[in-house]
Amino acid sequence: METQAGNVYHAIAHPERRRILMALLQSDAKAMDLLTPGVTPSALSQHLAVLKEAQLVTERREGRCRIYTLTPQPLFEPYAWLSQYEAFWKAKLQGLGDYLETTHGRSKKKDRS
Amino acid sequence: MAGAKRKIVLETTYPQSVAEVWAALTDKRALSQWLMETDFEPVVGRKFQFRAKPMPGWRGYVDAQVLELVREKRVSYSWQGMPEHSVMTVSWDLAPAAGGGTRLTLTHDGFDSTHGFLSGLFLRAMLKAGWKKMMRKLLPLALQGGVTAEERAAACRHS
Repeated sequence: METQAGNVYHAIAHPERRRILMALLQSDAKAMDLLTPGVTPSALSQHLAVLKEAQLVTERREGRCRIYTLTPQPLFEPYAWLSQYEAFWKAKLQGLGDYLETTHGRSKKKDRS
Repeated sequence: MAGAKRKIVLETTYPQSVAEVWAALTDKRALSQWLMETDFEPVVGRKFQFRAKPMPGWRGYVDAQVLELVREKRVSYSWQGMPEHSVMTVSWDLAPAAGGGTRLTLTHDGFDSTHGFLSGLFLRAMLKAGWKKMMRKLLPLALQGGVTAEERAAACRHS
């Protein structure tokens, strides 16, 4: 996988960063809106930096405020992975059916030829 | 969380007998024909691999280990497609079906909570932003084996 996907896993490994992403899912937010008890402004800054590096979050300035927006595109590959596996198994189960039919025939009556 | 799947469960019925389906699941020559090239042996604890052509996003082989064997009932093994992904579990459960056939249940488990969170968040964000069109463009590309940054950017632009 591209390094970007690796950054995504690292980015969401931390529960605080997951909380930030869920908050931004609801709406864009200023940094101070994202503060909660137990998170120092400096820790929040670090988390936002990790999320920016993973391209899960973008930052813009409006006047003196910094506004954060969720940009979910990097989540696409992990999501596609799950869908990929399901498509893979569906195809394989069909292949198994074909294999069984070729090898044993459809009927359970044994026709030894 | 809507859309956050943690495991895949697929059920199929085949007209062949439980013994015949069991053989297809536990004989390496059979597996190599319908699933993937493999050195599987039906021995609990035995490590083995599934091999196919490497493609974008996949190294070309799966590391696996036999976890459970209950003759003509259940075979399961660990499954790791890429080192950065969690070790998952693939289980096959067999039961007789009406008329002498076999009901086969595949369970692919272990998409960890991280993966589930990612998938759930992605889905909700896409639905919220009305990016269904973008997903429809990207999914077929991903299933072919990878989406380049250019393709992703283009799909986002034109959605």
